[in-house]
Amino acid sequence: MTRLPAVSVTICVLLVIAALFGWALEPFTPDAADFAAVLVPPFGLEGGLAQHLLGTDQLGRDMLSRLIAGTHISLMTAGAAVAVAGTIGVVLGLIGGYLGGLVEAATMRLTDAFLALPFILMALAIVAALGPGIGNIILVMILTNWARYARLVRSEVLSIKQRDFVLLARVAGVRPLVIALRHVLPNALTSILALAVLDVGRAIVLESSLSFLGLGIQPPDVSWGLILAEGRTYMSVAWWLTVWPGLLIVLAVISFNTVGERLRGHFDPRSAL
Amino acid sequence: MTGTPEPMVAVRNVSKRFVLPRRRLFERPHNFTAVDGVSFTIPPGTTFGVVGESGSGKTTLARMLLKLERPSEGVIQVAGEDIFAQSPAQERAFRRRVQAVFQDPYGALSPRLKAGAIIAEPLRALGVDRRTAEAKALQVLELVGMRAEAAARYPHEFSGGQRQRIAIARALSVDPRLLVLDEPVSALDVSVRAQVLSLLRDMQQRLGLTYLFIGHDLAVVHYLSDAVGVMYFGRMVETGPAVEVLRHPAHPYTRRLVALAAAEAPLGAARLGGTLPDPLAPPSGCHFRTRCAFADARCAAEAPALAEIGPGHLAACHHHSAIAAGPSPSVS
Amino acid sequence: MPPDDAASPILTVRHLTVAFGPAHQPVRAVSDASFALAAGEILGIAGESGSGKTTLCAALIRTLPRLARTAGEALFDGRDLLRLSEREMSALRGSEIAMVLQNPMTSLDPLFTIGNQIDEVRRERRVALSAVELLRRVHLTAPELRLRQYPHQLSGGMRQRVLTAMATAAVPRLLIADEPTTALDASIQDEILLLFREIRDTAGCAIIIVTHDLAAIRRLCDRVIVMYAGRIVEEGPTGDIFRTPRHPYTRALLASLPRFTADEVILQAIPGQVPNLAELPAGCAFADRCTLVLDRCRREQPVAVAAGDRRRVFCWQAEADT
Repeated sequence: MTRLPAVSVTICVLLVIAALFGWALEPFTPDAADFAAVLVPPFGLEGGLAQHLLGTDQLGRDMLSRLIAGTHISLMTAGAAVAVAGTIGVVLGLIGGYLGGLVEAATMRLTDAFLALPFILMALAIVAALGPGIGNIILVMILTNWARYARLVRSEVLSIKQRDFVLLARVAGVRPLVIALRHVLPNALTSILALAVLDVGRAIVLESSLSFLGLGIQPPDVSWGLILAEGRTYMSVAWWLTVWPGLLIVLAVISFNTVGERLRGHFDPRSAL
Repeated sequence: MTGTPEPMVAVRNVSKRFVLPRRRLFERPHNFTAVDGVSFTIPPGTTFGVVGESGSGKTTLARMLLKLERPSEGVIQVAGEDIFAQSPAQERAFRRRVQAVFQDPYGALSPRLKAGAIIAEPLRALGVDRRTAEAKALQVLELVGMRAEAAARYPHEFSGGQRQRIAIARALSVDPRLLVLDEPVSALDVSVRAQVLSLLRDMQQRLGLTYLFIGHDLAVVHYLSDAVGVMYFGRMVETGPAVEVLRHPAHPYTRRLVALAAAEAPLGAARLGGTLPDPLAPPSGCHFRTRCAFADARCAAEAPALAEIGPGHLAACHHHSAIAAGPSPSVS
Repeated sequence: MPPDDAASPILTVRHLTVAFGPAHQPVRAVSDASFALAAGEILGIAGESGSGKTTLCAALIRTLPRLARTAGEALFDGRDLLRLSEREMSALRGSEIAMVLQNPMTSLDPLFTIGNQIDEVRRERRVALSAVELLRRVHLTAPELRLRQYPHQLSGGMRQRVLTAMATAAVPRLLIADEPTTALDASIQDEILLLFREIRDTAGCAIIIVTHDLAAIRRLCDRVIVMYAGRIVEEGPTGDIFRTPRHPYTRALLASLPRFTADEVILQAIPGQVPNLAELPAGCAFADRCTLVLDRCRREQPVAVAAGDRRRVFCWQAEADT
């Protein structure tokens, strides 16, 4: 087993734990305003307070709590989007790749169509039609992303189909469905896993971008992008409003990407950097 | 001949053409003939060796015999049954009767399954329950000379030779009558090759199996074969008893292969002149004529048919008698 | 023409050892290999999987992964190849030392056509022959078409030949070829081997051929080294080795090749397997499979025994015989 980069894995694991269980650790309610403690700098700087380790924002809301809540939403959104997009993509790619012929042509043309759609325009369109919010941006991310899985799976299936052990399974009289599920899919899954991990990083950025633009997560829900957006106006006087969420986004994306790249390199040595 | 048992395999005039994908939109589609009018029979319990180099069509032939490809023309019969006119029940029986071992030991075994599961799979596909299938798997594992604990290990834990044994065990698990072996030892080390070949010979004698053995190494093919067929560019150019073809090769291509196989042959001893044929546009008449010292106008005009030149020995060459009269490329 | 013995060797390898993995239980891919190669000599290194022959070559041309631990020396023109910097090594590779390696997948750039890559070599080495002629020399069909094709469009055997064409385009002083003919048909193998010999004859290039194909070695090579489990077990002129092999492994190996007799083909399998390179015994690695094994074989590593003119064999039995 390849040695995964320890730091990145640790960060990923910590983030996931924060996303799942962080709510128990939030010192304050994320949207509890406290006008007595507005724009408090992080602890350790002049004017900082011990109970607000990372400072507060313009409404006196504790940054640490908001960031933890944001982690929860950002990662859950990214995770859900990747999981659903992945599942749809894998199923369609498997069906198309394995059955070939018209079915494959149809699924691939569908894939091409979706791949051609520009993300931002799709997001705008859906938000305009259905309104912003968690559910809808997950929908946007699924719609614009499933096609990448379909394409990857289909190309894996095509190459695995030709391998001797699949031919020999046919010679042994194994039914096509069983071959697809027992032989083809597990061998294709490894590269899908790598893609999915990489995708989490991408999804985080996408969600943050949408939320930053106001199209994504809406208050009172919190996400890193939203925190960034809200802190924009006060950036010059309170750097901590934008730096913390920005740093988290960068850290999360780099960590997931590193782990994903390593996995990809491990399973498909030809594409390793 | 009267009194001969029905052949296990009868291939009659089988051809396979592939249509190549067009490169330009309005180009006429190219036809590529991989197998061209091949006929031969295999008596039960014997080995028929097919010798040919890459591009000779031998692998396509094997695939047709395994029903992985459909012939464009011709009939393939196994145990008297036309395999491309089978009912589903007959096809299921066919799958039990005919198994295969391929060249690449590293691609033949599904990397995510344990050896025991791999061997048991054909039986499970036939509907046998798990316990019986696993018991049988252990049985054949021992038969091919491996220990029972190998069943719990994954393919990547085995060497090439061991994987090939597992592949053979899998093929034998359903008690087949016919085994199609496509270059089963070419990818193995020399000494391991010998082990696996001995194993195959042993299995044949013990279980009364019929083999179609395909290879490009003359010596290896002859080790197991009772009769051989030599293929060149999709056509069968010579067939006959293995010893006979080896000692008195009639077709110029066979003679060249035999000359090359002699270990003491100095380099360039069997050098061919002429041009290599283009697989997409093979020479008219006899495909070998562009490289043959004896070729003449007749060879270009008329493709020679397999004709009997000795008892059970056929060759497809217009000038075989003249060639036979010349020096013989001896092997021993 | 086989080289003149008196000439000083172009390559001298002494006590070359390559190990991988943890220090307390290293995988000894090559152990204590020493040999010399004269200018213009064709040397065959014969062995099966795990023999160390490929690792030996990789060590010489310095393409081993960084985790490999190399010891010993390899003097090429007085310079130790094992101690040159990467830059110095790069300068040597391709000009004085050419290679045809076993994995054609990674040796050809998938993004450029064959023609592009051959022309690049021709430009750098100022080769007079045209690209088409170079491809014809290695007997590729439809050479003009191949020039326009990409590596993935050719079969493994064809790619191997393209690499051979590129390696032999300019004449290096040393050519190292790892399994140059394995994926090829008998007739084309013959042509490639002939090509190697022609290059040696016309330009005096020394060649090391690494292969498990003993017939090819017999046909082409002046001398042969037989390796087993990382060690050299026998060395000598090809004819002598094939006629009268002294080491039990060499004998067993030759016996396992199918041989034609008047009526049938016979071969003799070697029972057992190559030992795990991480768990090599203290004595001779072949002891478990050897029909002539002595007690001493299991305890002590055999040393070189001179066995005639320029012949060496590493076997206690052979020493007992002499």
